[in-house]
Order: sequence, then C-alpha cells, then structure tokens
Amino acid sequence: MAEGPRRRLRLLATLLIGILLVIVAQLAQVQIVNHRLYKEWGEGQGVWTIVVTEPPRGVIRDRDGHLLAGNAVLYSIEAAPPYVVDAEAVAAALGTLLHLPTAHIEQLLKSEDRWVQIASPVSKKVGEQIADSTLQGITVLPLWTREYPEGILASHVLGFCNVEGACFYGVEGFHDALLQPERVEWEGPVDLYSEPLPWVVAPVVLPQPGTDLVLTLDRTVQALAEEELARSVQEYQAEGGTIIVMDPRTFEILALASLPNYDPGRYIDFFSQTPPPFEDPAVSQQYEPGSVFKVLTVAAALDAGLVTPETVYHDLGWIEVGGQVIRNASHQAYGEQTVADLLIESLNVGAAWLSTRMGPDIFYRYVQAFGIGQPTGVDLAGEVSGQLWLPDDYERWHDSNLGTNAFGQGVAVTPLQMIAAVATVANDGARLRPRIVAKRIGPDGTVSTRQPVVEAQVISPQVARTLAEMMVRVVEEGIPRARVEGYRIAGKTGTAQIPIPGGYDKEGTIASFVGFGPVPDPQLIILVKLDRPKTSSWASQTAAPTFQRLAARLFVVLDIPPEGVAVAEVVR
Amino acid sequence: MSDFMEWVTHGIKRGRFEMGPRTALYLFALVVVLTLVVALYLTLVSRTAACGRDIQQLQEELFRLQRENEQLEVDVARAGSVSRLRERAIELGFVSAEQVEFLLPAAGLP
Repeated sequence: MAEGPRRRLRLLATLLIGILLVIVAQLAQVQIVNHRLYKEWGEGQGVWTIVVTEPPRGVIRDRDGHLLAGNAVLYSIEAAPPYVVDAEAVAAALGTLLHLPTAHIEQLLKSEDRWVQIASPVSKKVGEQIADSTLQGITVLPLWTREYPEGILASHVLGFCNVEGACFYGVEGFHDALLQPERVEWEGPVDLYSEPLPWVVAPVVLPQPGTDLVLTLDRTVQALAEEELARSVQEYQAEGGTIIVMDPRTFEILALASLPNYDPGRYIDFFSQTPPPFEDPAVSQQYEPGSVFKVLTVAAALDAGLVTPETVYHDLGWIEVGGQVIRNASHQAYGEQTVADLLIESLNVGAAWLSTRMGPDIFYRYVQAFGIGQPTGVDLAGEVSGQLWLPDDYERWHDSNLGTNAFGQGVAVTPLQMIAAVATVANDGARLRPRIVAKRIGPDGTVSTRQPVVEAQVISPQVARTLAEMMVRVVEEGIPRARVEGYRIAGKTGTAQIPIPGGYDKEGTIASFVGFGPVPDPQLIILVKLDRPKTSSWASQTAAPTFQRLAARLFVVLDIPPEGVAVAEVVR
Repeated sequence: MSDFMEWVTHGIKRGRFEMGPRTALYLFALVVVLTLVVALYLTLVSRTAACGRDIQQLQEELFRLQRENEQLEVDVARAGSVSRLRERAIELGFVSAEQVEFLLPAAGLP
C-alpha cells in the first residue's frame, strides 16, 4: 500500500479509537463512577414503595349483631403535575366539583412538584364524580373513615378514631391493634397513576381486614340506660352520672352509660369542653362509694364467721377508731341493733364496729378479694385501679382507715369495680372478670368466644345468699323508692361526700345505688351513680328511683317475668 | 461514492467474501431460532402484561365492592339505628309502654 493511504488510514483509525475511548470513558463515568447516583435517580423516578390498598378496619357490633362502629369511604384528590395536560381546564373542572378557587387549584397543578394533594377528605359522592370524569394526571384515592351509625349511643364504650386512623378510648383504643387491618407495602416500578406496571408481578396476596368484635352490650338496654340517666341528671339537677347494667351470672356488661357524653363521629366538636368528655367515667374516674361499701364489710364479717345477721351490737351513735370519732350520718344513737339492721339503717358506727372486730388483716383481705384497689381487667382503655391504702403503707394508712373504710370513706373505686363487687354477692360469692367483648371474628371467619373468667370465690354461696336476703330487706324496709312491683330486689344506697384538698366538700355528694334482682335468682344488676344532684343529696331520693324506673323497663325488655309468673315457651 | 469516501478508500484493496451453502444454512437457522426466541419472549411479555392488567382490574373491582359493601352496611345501620327507629315510632303514633301487665293463663289451660 502506498504511504499516503496508509497514513490516512492510521489517522482515521486513531481518530476512531480516540472517539471510542471518549465514549468508553463516559460510559465508565456513568455506569461505574456515578453508578449509585444514577441508580437512585432512576429508581426514584420509576420505582416507588406503595401501600397496597388498605382493607377496612374491623367493625364493632352489639350482642345481637347491630353495627355500632363501621367504615365508610371518603376520597383524597391528588395530582401528578407533570402529567396534567391542560391545567386550566382541569382546574376549572375540579374547582366546580370541589367548590375550591380555580386559581388555587391551577397553581397546584402547575407546580414543580411531582405529586400534590388538592383536597382531602372529600365526600364519596364528589370523589366518585371526579373519578368518573377521568381527568388526566388526577388521582382519586379512597380513604377509610370510621362511622358510628348509632350516633352518641355507647360513645364511652366505643371510643373514637381520628382522621389519621389513630383510635382512642373505649374498645377502639383497647383493641386498636386487633381492629387494625393488615398493612402490606410493595416496592417496584409504577406508572404515572402509582399503579404497579402491568408486566411486573404485583402482590396477589391481599392484605387482611381487621378482626371484628361482638360486644356483650345490648343496644336496646344501652338506649334505655342512657335515656333514664339523661332524665335523672336533668330531674335531679346533677352534674353528670353513670349507669352500668350487668348480668351477674356472667358479668357481661349489657349497658354502660355516662354523662356528659359525646358523639364519636364528631369528636372534634367536643375538644372545646373542659375537660373533653372522652374518658369513660365508669372505668377511668374514681369516687368514694360511701355506704354501698357496707355490703362488702358485712359480707366479710359474715364469711369470716364473726357474726350472723342476727348478731346484736349496741349503737351509741359514735365509735372511736384509731383516734378518730366516727358517727352515724344522722348523728343519732340507735341502741341495740342487729347486723341486718346495720345494713337497713345504713349505720356507720355498726360498719366500723364490724371492721374493727375483723381487724385489718381479715377486712382488707376480703376487700381485695372483692377486686377493690385493682383494675377489673375489662377490655376498655384507660381503666384505673382506684385507691385502697393498706396497713403496710405506713405513710398513707392510719389506724382510723379501718373504721372509715368500712363505710366507704377514704377508699376510692370506679363504678365498674363497685358493681363487680356487689355482683359477686349476686353470683353466689364468685367474682368474675367483667366482660364487654363477647366474641372476636377473624378475617377468615374464625369465631373466638370469650369465656367467663372466675377471678375468685370471695365468699361462700350460703353467705352470699344470706347477704342477698339481707339486701332485699334493705330495699323493702329502707328504700321504698327502689322497689319494683312484682320483683324481689336487693340493693344498697350510698351517699358519699366528695374529697377535696384538706377535707370533704360540704356542698355536693355522690349519690349511688346498686341493686339486683329478682332474688333468689338474680339476672340483672344495675349501678346508678349521680354526681352532685341538687334537688336532694340523698341517694334514696335520686339514685334509687332512677334504678326503679330503669329496672322496671329492663325486666320487660329482657323477658324477666315477675314473681310467680313463668314466661310461656313457644312450641312450634 | 462521494469524493470524500473515494479519497479515504482509494488504494485499499477490496477483499472477496464468499459464502458456502452450509454457512448460509447455519446463518439461516440462527436467524430462525433468534426470531422464534424473540417472538416467544414478546408473546410471553405481552401475555404477562395482559394478565397483570386483568389482576389489577380484578383487585380494583374487589376493593371497590368492599368499599361499597362497608358503606352500605353503615347506611343500613344508620337507617335502623335506635334514634331513627324511635323517631319513626313516634311519627307512627307509638308511645312507650309505661305499665306492663303479665297475663296469667287460667288454670288448666296448656
């Protein structure tokens, strides 16, 4: 080959190799040196972590299957500005449907962001209208929202969920983890609507919805309890109150009503109240029970074998315990009295005499066995343990506590603790754990029934029945306004002072009544507690008639016939 | 050929390329196999995409029905709530039964 062409060829080859080297160098720069940077950039553009559409939260039903807490749909309207073709037209369409300023939406659609939220939450109707209009670059994302179709009914039992899906108070708060649906995240390439690309193997295993709960609550009983509570609070000008209805045979809670209450579907409106009425007073607020507590004192003394209902003591009108003089509420001396009279007349001196006869060891052993001073273990959020100081607490317990505790002073309980303690008497002395959740129904339909849990055999069945008969006499001879015609009712009132710093409030009282029936086969126990009633400070004038009205209605609703009447069994 | 290319290539001797029948056959077979593989791959990818889209649509439908179901259940519960039933009962003229009497069947009746 001639020298000229050879030189030209070499020149050309050198040129080509040079260009090739530049390309290789650039490739090495991109693929090796800046590998991580470009990889992350690329993945950030096309590969997203998305939450696979969430299934609904578990629902809550009453014992008959009526829905108490369910799920409804709202929408979030979002946009991917790079994919919006005609921002003005889309903004105009959205502005009309969302009743938002068009200029504001247009500004969002023209932003540099890859993703913007235009409105959230919007109603189901509007969300579906926007979805049907298929606006390019607009995504209509469904959101679950909690709904309480019964409104304010059983608000304290249910609790509520906020817009972010966080749930508080009641069963919602206690069983939040159980009710929550399974959350499944998936990472991979997505299209402009954040959907997995169709040729990618997307997750086929769908997330499971939350576990459904069936409560022991009966919505009819609940409604009647709330109605009677509202009536009594108004009639007796009380600041608030609580009613609990239980089946003493199983400790299933049939109704749990407190005032002031709230609508869990509009919980935001109640934040302005001081304090907001979200805590359930039945489990989260404690009070000194007063004379209702004498039932436990007498039960302990009877079961310990120290007295019988006929045992006589001499009531001087006062007794000194630990240096403190204890007097009857009436400030009168009653002379010779039996233990049964002690309950009927509700004598503080007699109760203190009993507790001092027992001594602190026996007395507090029984009080603790009745569940006082410890949470009941009910499935409701925020339960407190009450307040019971024991003799080994040298700083807070004094000798006088043995006397005052005997008639329910210096000891604090929750309404649920108190009704559970008295229900123990109605249930032949066996204390069970109060139940609000009857069943759990898993996403696969598996039903798990909650069985009654026996916490303790506190007193013997014989003593329990004897005490129940004594409590019947209390109602029949001492509290006529608690009687229900045709039914043998056992019960006890409690008119308690309210502790304040430095002593007791001289103005208000807490009036309560716990009653069960029909004796000797109790199927219903009701606790009524009214806070600071103004028309009368006495429980026999306020809480007792509230019990009477409610019990009379519930015996009918629950098919509990009066004495001597058997409900006919339908034969098909 | 342009003047430039002629300037670059003039003086370079062109080699002769001859393809035998066997080589041609191998080449043809290779092209056929490659075509088949590519066709198979494309078919697979398109069918996967179609199936993926079907699954996505079915999932969407499932979620939509789930939402409808939940919403309907809430609507039904609201329509049958205690407060609503009470309102309706009052509208229809019902009153609360204040005094309930249990009737005892006469002795001897079944």
